[in-house]
Amino acid sequence: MSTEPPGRPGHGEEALRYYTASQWQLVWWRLRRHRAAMAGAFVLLLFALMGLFADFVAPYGGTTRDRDYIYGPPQIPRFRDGNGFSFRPFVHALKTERDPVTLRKIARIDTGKRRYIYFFVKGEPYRLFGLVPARTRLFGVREGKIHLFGTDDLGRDLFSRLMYATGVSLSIGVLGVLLAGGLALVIGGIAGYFGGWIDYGIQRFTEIVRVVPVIPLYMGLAAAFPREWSNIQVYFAMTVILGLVGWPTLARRLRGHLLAQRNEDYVLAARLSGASSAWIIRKHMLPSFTSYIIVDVVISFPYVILSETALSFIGLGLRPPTMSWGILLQDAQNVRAIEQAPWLFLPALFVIVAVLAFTVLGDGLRDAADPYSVRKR
Amino acid sequence: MTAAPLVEIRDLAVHFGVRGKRLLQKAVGHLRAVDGVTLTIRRGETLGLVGESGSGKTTLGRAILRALPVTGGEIRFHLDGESVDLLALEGRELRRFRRHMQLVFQDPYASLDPRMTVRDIIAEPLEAPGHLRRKREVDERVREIAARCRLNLEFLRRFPHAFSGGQRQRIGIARALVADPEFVVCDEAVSALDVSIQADILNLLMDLQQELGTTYLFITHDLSVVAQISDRVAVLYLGRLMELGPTREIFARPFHPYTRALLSAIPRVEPEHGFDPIQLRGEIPDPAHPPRGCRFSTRCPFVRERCREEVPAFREIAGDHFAACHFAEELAG
Amino acid sequence: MTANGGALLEITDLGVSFTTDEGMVRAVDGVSLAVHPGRTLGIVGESGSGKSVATKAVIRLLPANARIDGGSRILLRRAEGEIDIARLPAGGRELRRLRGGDIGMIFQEPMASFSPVYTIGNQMIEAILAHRDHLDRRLGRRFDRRAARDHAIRMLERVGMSNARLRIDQYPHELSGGMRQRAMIALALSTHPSLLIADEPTTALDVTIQAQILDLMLELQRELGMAMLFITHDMGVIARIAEEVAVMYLGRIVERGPTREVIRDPAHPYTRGLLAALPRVETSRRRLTPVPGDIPSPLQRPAGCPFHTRCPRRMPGLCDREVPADTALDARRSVACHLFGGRAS
Repeated sequence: MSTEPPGRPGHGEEALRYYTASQWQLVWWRLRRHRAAMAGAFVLLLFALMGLFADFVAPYGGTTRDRDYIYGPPQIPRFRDGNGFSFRPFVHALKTERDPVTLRKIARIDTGKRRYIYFFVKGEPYRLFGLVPARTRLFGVREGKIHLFGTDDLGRDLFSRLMYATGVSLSIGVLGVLLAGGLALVIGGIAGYFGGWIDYGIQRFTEIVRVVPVIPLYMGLAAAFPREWSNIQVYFAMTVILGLVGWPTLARRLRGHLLAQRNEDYVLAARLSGASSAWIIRKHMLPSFTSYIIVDVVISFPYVILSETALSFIGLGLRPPTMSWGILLQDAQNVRAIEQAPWLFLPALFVIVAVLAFTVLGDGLRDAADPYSVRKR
Repeated sequence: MTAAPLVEIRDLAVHFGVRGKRLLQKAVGHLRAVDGVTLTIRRGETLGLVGESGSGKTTLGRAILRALPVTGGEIRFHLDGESVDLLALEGRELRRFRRHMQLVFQDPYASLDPRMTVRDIIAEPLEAPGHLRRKREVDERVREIAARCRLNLEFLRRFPHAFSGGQRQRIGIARALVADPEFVVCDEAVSALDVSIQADILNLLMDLQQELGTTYLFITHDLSVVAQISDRVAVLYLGRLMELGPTREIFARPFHPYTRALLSAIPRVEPEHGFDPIQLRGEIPDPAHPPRGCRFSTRCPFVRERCREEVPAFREIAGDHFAACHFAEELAG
Repeated sequence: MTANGGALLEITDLGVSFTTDEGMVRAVDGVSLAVHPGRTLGIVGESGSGKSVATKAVIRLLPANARIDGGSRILLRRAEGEIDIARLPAGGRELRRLRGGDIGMIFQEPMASFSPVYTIGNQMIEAILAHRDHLDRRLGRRFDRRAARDHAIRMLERVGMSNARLRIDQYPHELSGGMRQRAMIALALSTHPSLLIADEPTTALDVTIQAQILDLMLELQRELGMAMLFITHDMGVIARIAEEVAVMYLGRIVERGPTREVIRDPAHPYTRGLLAALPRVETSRRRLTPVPGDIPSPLQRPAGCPFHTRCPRRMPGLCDREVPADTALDARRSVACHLFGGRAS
């Protein structure tokens, strides 16, 4: 006995809206109810904006050095100090002294001097998206410098560097996933649609690719990059590697969806109605497919990002002066960093948050992508 | 008084290869899902096809629609004095011929693409093969058939998720009938529905047949439904026809022991009918390894030596009433 | 007929609600019924009638989003005294001892009862040993592993499995559908429960096999003297197996009484409609009488009598406002319908 779907609203305007809702509307309605997924989506949107407008959000260039503030701890904006309360957030100014023992230059916080934080201040010149010359930065201080997340061993502003790195890491993830998705679509699509021995051959090939251990493969490929390659070349080579390693999992899932789809009653109904293969693919397969593709792509994102981070971290991926999460984390490799500059681990927090966000969003999308699944039971 | 034949099926066989367990091994055996069925479906009638699981009833229905590869035999359609060899049609020709035959599915949920509006679902048999190209004509035809299927025309803009099982089945029926096919296979078309809804769909199917003169092959495991809707009944067991005859005859005077067992096992509501099923021994044999001789011989309460050795011929025992049993006359008498 | 005092299972005012994405679903609403030792109560209903939910509540096998009303009582009377199953702590020891001990269960899908990775025998022996105390008491004999295996084989033979000694070491997937169903019955009965809950146990089976299984169940019931709660959508099956029937619609019992009387002379318009809608073997090519309209979504339970939206004899102003109370027709029959003067008390 079939069970009636529990979720059919009865009458009225709302019901009619529901009855005439297309797949994407149903997906969106369901996703909207998934709080964790919406939070994940929000975080990712924030990251994407940060990466896209890194030049604007970052107060300084990624390689600009502040020689007076090396290994400087984060400066947290505050509203009050010993001198009272202020509506405008500020940080305290720094003054340089020499350590009486080691005679090294160290920065001391001068609690007497406030550096107020302003929005849309004029900073170092840059080109937005590499094109539009601009000077305005999202925020900054008028005198001295502000290092929200502290500085590294060369006195470079970690916050700014993280903004640039976010852009690079996410974009490499996007390109890698797109490449993997494209490959998977073609290979999995061929296997799933034609079936038979073509499917068999492709399946075995996919399995072979899948069993190759990833780390040595990465290392081999990355080591094959000529040293004289420019950063741009390395960047694209990385996306290719990530794509090449990432496709088998995706291809497998796509093939599974396709095979399942081919056996759907409504596909048979179309065939018995005299529909051609082209009609069936266009009207039935592709529409149901796209939602699955999106889900699979989102779910495979964290792997790609983690791969890039790991590779760059062990020095096989991107190289400085390019900035990515992995490269920033290289600075946190030594014991001295852990001891004296724990803020250098902040990029790791970004990685974790991004991976989590992708995972919860992927989960939510997976639940929402097939809005008919629950109803059918 | 017998009407002209619409579909003639001769010696139809559908065998599936049973794959070996080893890698790349060729087929090791054949599952004879349908094995030599000869059957004529008459214009305008409802032929009920009953059988238990593994009988091959669904396979037979789909084979007649060329929904799966046929191993051997012949299927002929007689349309307007023209005789078409269905198994000879391929590609575009076959696609164009499909307007003459359609299928109503069992599962009202899986058989409608959830991403299409009801209008597009019903219109598919018109639009997909390009029978009707003008949207106006298509819309008109869709509205007409939807009205006949007692579907509210408001529903056409909606998606399948808006509907209950019974309404979905109406949509499925409207899709099957939109291109005005001569022949419709109803494969367990009411089995997934609740009793109170099922009656409504059965009525609809009978009404539509009256109005449109459609011929049905009605496949089901439910004998009461078959009794209700069909003019003639065919009983299938392990891929072979056991009995075929007018509904009243079959239910009143079954010749084949299998039909008798089947009928006695229907749980009746009326207490006066009692319930004294003929107990069949054992289980339905594996269709990949059917018994020699009569397929029913392993479970038949009247089995004799001859049954295990010799395949009984499917022969006319009384007027228009056929059975495949060596001892049909004896057992009926 | 014994009064309710003699009932083995007595359900009073059972209500079950589900919290779903789309809102609250009231699946079972104020159901009261009693099952007597050695007798069979059939519950018949269509989709959304709550028949399955109500019986799953008896063994507390409801999904996590279900809630049993605070006022519900599910009393089980045992030799050791009576317990209210509705108040047992979820997942507690006591519940586990009940399930498969005092209360046996069989379902439509036998694979739901068996794990695919253990042999039939293994699972039966585990079940027997888990409820050893209960069995020792009932059969007056000590059960060790050997005895349990012998007992399992006897049960398999009892349900008509040939070669039980060999079959006991087979895995569930090696059996055919009918044999699996038999094995499940053997498993459920191996602990000699006093109550057997059967949820559509023959729905997935072919008619010839169904007839065999129904006969077997009747026979075993006579032999073991257990009570049965038999759930099905098939009036024919009910007529065959249950002495008493309760007809459910949208979570409420609309009519109950001795099966023969209810079928011969149905009182509630829904029961009448259901019986009239049944296709009959005797009537060829005749129009059927369907129950008009669709079963409402459980999210949109009609106010008043749940059936009033489809009822040919509804009385406007009454049926759509007031829930009809159970009205006794005679000592053993009752109906919840305003036509019979039912008023909410």
